[in-house]
Amino acid sequence: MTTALVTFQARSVIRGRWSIVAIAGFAIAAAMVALLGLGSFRQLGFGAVGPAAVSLLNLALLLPTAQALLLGALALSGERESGFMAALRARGMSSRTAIFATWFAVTLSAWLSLIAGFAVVAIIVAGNVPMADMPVFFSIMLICGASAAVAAAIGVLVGSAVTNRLQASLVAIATWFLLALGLDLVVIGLGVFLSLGEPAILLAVLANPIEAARVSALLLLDASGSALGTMGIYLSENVGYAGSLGLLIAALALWTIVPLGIASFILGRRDL
Amino acid sequence: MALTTAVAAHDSDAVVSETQESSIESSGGARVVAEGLRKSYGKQEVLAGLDLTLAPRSLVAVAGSNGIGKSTLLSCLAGTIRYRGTVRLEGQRVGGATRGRIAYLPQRLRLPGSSSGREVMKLFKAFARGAADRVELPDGFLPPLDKPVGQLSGGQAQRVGLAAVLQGSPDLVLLDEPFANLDDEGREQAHRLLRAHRDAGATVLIASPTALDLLAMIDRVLLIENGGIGFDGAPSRYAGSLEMTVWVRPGDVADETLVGLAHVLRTRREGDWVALECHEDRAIGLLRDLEALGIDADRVRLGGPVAEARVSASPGVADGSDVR
Repeated sequence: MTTALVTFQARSVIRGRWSIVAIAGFAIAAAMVALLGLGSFRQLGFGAVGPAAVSLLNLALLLPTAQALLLGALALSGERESGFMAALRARGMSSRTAIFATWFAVTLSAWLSLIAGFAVVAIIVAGNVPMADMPVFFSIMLICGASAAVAAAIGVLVGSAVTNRLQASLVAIATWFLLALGLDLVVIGLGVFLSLGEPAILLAVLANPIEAARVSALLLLDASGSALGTMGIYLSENVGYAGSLGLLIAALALWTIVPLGIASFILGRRDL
Repeated sequence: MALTTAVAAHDSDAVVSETQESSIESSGGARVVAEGLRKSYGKQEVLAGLDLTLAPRSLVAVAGSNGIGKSTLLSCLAGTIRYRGTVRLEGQRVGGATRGRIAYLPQRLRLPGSSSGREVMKLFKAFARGAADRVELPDGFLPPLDKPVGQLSGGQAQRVGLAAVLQGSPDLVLLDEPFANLDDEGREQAHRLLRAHRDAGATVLIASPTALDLLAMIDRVLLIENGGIGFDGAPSRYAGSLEMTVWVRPGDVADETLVGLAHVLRTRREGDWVALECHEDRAIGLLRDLEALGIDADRVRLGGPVAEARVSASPGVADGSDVR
């Protein structure tokens, strides 16, 4: 039953117009970054903090997360609004199954974007970067995949809490802006104003999954953490490289599990 | 105050399994027992302590004007909304224990447009928990199943939705205006399909504003009024309780005379014509009274029943002038 629903949802979401547009859009944007940054890739490869690698990282952290957040919110609220979820609930579908199936389908759609984008980049930069950089390339793709999974979970949470699709899209877009830009601006502003130390900034990073994914990826590109400034030094001195990565990945896992749990709780206690 | 409704068992001799029979016996012969159902949206209480009992092997219509609570009642029985009170299916509270036994077609169900009809059917089949289909679909009922649902017409999509939810052997079938968008042939096929489900043992509950198009196929009508059941009885009795309009060109007969006729509930004048509203089972008596007043048959026209008037009881219409 769960398998049937997961399969159905995955097909339904991936074949949807917005998924196809997002997958194609990210592939085109990634290709443009790779072509424009080919010189940088030739000089620094993919295993260093170069302008092209960071541009690709930011693109992969922002576009698929926007896709996952929006699709997650729209898919769940749409199924509620259309009566489809009620028809299945009457037949015995649990809230947990509904939430998991939607989350998985949306995450898969975002992963397809990442695979398409990174595949295009790999084709363009092939022969221009050393093969030794490939593990970092794939690790960064995995980190971006994790951030997309987090965004899908938050999107599903939004979809479970709002009343209709319009509200879902507005709240999803606002949430994405908050995670992608808003929280950073708050931390920068408060950091300067309140003279926040590294522990407070680390907490702020852990409190923002996109930022946690970005810091993880930057650590993968530069194990010394020097690209992260004083916070990188703080991390390597206090937690170490593996510890830092473990901490950030654990934060991403929590950012996935907790929203899904809350969404399941909400969906089980509201009218469909 | 809540109104308790009687059990109306259908006298068909279809087969019900032994385990089901014992559960039905333990719940007093009823398949569904709903007690004290209360549901509010904001400050508006839609269901106010509604009690309901449904027999196995029965086809029941839930009628009532728009917004009166028909869909809310079906949602409560399906367990898809939160409410106060209890709903039991053969003694078991609707929820985990009754999984797979309730089929529910919500009003205006929109299936995912990018999925094919076949995929939708397969998904709902999976939720039927491997139960064999109780009733086969009539030939030609389903549209081409390989097409994405988004490319089907409203009626075709409705057929897919209806067929999908009815798969397996649901004991309780809840359908919210299931014939919307269906053409005459589809409607006829759907009627046969639901009768077959009833005859095979299912309890079928259909929400419809007037239930007029269902009178020939159903066993019982429930009319929702003021958060409870305002009418519960056989379709023939329900039809008789509906109001209808008799149009009269009175000629020399004064309006006051028409107003005073025994069976007339309300009247209004529209040009040369006067509309006399009466209960359907009183129409013959009214026609006799008109004949006695010397109003010939060629000065009389019969209008259709006005089911909603029974519920809303609003006298007159906006574009006519009341004479009573």
